[in-house]
Amino acid sequence: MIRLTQVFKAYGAQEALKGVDLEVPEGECAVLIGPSGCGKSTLLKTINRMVGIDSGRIEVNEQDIAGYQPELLRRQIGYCIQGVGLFPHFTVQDNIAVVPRLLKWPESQIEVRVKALMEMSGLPDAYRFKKPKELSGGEAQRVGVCRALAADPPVLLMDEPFGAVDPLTRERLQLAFMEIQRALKKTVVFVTHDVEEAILLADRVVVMNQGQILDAGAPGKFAGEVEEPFVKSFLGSEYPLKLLRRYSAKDIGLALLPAWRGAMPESGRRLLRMDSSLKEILSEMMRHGLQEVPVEVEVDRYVRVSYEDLAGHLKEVSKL
Amino acid sequence: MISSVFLGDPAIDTINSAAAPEQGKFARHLKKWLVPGLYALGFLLWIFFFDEGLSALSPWLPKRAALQMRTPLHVLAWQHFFMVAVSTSLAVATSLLLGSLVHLTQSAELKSLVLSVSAIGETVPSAAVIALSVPLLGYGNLTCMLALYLYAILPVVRNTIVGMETIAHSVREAGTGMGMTRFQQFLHIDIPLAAPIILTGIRTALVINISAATIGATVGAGGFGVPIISGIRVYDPVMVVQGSVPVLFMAMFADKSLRVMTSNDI
Repeated sequence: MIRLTQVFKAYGAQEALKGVDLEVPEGECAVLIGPSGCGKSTLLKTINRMVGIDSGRIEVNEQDIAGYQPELLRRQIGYCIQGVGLFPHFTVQDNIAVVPRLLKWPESQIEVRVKALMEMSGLPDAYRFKKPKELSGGEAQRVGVCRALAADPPVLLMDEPFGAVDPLTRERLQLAFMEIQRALKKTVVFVTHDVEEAILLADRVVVMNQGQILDAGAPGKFAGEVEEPFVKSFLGSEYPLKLLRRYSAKDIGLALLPAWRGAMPESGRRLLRMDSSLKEILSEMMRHGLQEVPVEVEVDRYVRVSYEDLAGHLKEVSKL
Repeated sequence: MISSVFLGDPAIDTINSAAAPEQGKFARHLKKWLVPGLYALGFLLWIFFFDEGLSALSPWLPKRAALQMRTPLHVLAWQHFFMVAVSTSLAVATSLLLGSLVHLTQSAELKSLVLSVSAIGETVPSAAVIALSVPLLGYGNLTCMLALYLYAILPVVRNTIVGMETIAHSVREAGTGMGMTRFQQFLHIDIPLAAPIILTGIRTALVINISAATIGATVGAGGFGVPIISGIRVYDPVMVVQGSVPVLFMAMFADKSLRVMTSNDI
């Protein structure tokens, strides 16, 4: 758990953080989002003391971080930096092993750990002895995530970790990270300027501007009425549509839906399944000009999902 | 796992690329060291068989002055080598220390001061440095070594500072963020990543010193400068060539072998 209380930071006359309060409960992923220069990266870096604060209090797992020596604190906090920053002269294995070695783990244990992390993030074992320059952008980002997770820190800080890759690789990295997070349940602070990335990964979206937190809440919250004008314009008028990608068919209570009757719509269409996202389902409706589409819940059993079901689900999550 | 699908099939790549280096490793090493080896051979042949070669060619050479050099070439070679090796290695040690200290202070003003001083310093002719050291240490090879030492410090200090400066910001930040102390970063990041640039500086210094050491003969320091200087005095081009060709071989050998050592495409 991470708690920030009235954190202030100024660079000369430039105020970067103006009294930030933030609490990230254990096992949750908080995504800081905002325009460039809004202080989100600065806020993230105050947590591992890469940036010193002028006043306020930061606690990680009920301990004031001011009481730690910065190096010792950082070894207990996973850190994924902007631009990956792998050590170019180290192999993949040595890159991942940096923090465990600083913590003086025995080598045998380090090797086991590196192998496990690489398997978890989908990197083949043969990559252990490659140098960073032999990796693609997406692979390097994965190594960056492995390096942050290496010493099994309870807290993870991620500063635009999937920044410099193409959209397809980015999506795969996001899905891989979601899978890892579901398994490990770290307390994560994640910085991005991409609304869709925030929707997908966040348990809690934190919108920042000009060194202040304007609003925070579950991603669904912002699908309803948003008062604050900046938050409204930053998240954009298409926010509910983007939010649909976060949920899949199984989130809308398919058991209660009526079975599909009658002929299936014409062949050649995509088969929708339990794990199709609501965005895919809506796209399918629009593609065929239908109000309802069949979704396969098990082999040869289809239920009828209508536009009202989708809209109803969004309405429901926006009230949480 | 979802993600392993799109990584292609790396297992196959790795097997292929792992098998190749084993076979050709020796051959490739041999090929890399061929050129420096030839330079060394040329050097040794010149040193030990110069007189034989000269007498074989004497019918075609102009008549030479009666005054001949008394010190054998291999002694001059040793004197030359000794001066260069001692002065350059002391200079490298000094400048690594100096460059690292300047880097560790993290003061931008100090860095730019040292860089501009070294740039200006290199414009001073080496002959002048040697001449100016005579009042300090008198005649002999110590004077020459002092001049060479001062001269070699400049490129190495500069490259040490610049090499450590140019390390990517994200790499530096990663080091700090992972919880490395300043000294651990210096040891595990700064030095290894700046090493290629530092070695380039050392190579420059070494080549400069090998050629500049010939001027040492004017202050009685010995070395290959002896036949060159006396050759000029008695108008004997053969003597000048006798001293300058081994210097050429030595410099090319030093340059090439440092290049080979630092190239990592084994």
